[in-house]
Amino acid sequence: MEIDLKNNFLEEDYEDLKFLLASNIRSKIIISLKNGPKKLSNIREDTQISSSTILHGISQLENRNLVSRSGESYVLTSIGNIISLKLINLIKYWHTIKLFKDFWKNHNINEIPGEFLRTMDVFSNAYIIESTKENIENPFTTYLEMIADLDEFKAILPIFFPRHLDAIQFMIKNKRKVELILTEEIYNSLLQYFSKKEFTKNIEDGRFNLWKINQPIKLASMFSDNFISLGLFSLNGEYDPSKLLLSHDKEAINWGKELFDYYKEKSEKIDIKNL
Amino acid sequence: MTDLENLFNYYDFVQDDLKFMIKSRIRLNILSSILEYPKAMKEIKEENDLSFAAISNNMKRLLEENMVIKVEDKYLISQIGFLKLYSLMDFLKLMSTTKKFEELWLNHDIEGIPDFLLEDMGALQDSELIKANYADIYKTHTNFKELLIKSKDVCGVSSISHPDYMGIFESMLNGDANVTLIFTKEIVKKVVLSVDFKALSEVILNKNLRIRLYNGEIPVAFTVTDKFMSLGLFNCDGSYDQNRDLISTDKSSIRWAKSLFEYYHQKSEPLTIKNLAKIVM
Repeated sequence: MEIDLKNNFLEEDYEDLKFLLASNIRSKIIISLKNGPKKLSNIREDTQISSSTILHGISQLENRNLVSRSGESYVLTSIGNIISLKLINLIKYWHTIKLFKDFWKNHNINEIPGEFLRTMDVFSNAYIIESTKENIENPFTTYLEMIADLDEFKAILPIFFPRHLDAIQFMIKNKRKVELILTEEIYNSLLQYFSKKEFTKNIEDGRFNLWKINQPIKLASMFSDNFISLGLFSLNGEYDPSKLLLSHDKEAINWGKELFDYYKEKSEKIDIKNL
Repeated sequence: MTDLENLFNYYDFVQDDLKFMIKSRIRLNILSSILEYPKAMKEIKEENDLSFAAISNNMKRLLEENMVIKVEDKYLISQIGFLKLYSLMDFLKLMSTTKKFEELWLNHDIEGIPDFLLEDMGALQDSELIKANYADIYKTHTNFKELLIKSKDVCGVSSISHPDYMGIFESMLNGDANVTLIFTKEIVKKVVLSVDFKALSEVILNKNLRIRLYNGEIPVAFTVTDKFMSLGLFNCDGSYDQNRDLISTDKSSIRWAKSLFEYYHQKSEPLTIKNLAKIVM
């Protein structure tokens, strides 16, 4: 984990946290000012807090160099601006935790690399697709619908279902680009599925790009330019195919791209020579 | 719904959770002491120097809120508890970094740093703020030079010109250092006027040096190499603050500065003889 894990919260640090996060008045004033200077009346409209309470909050924020006055308006200082960005992150993060509480609770999240766990707030606007009694295959059918029109897609796969293979074959047959990072085991099953000739040809054409990774991966993710999906392993160690976190937000898709690059660096590229 | 309304709704949705965590330092300390390993009540008590009553009361609340799980006689942090604590520590890291270098950020222009890197400012936690003092007015500059000479892979972005730098880079290039510099048009113009065109053409054709052109203002000046990073800002009045330089040789600061370089790299283009001629005309 990349973050320093402190053993305890120092008094001073704790007071800072409390000052910013335990007061909805100060938090809301900061959020309200995030896009530029505002007059008292505008802050009141945004926050639905009374003027006198706002003024009191502002003077506390001024004392800490987070807000300053400019004419009749209030504006975040450069430090206030930095803090506001992080505060918004934090709120989105907690929103993401609460919204998908069961998803985080029932799956193994410890293997998600720290840097990516830290930025889970990108999923604040995501949703979960679940298998239902009527349609046990729901997460998969959604996949297939989504990839039907894509020009390319990428995936990090530590597991394989026949339907993944169907999807990959569909993409390749239709001359679209596929990039996959696979664990050793999955790579071997993929080899069995395609004929060697077909496989070689697609790799040569550059439509099929494969990387083999020699470490266990505890998440499955597929993404393209307009969606990202994230599937996790259950606490008992098995992959849980019944739930998928899905997002169409640009920041979530970028998260996926960076995760892909992160694993790609730890992988071996498969080309004709080492096939 | 506007972005702002959305955020206020998010805030209202999570504020009770936040307050539960924040309002008790004891609970925060209990959670951090079981972050890595499950522990028995006794161990937690000793580590935190708390009364048994205080721990057991708060532990009860933490169990109720599903932040902690009890397995036999040990307590371990739940996954939800872990995520929440993790995010608070990350927030704290940013806060302490802004505080530590308060005089660098306050009254300075931070527009040159994109939001995604401002948010990640906690990465600079272990950097050092070098201040010029009267005894050695060029202290920041001297430090910079010493570190630079040792580097093999140098990236720089600047909208200010230091007469010395051309010389330093030149001597580095005679070694085998790899240098990529991103300049604004104004700097390129200044450099062109100060050296002859032939010498500059040679520099452009040098394989170890890549000069790139950034179309616009760059209100930040920084260098990042395999060994260190160094960052300077402009005062709010538009002048460059020569007295303060954030310097670091630690990995996370270097990674941060590399991302900042990447950001400007993507928005710049190579300086060729052709576009050089255009600038000078």
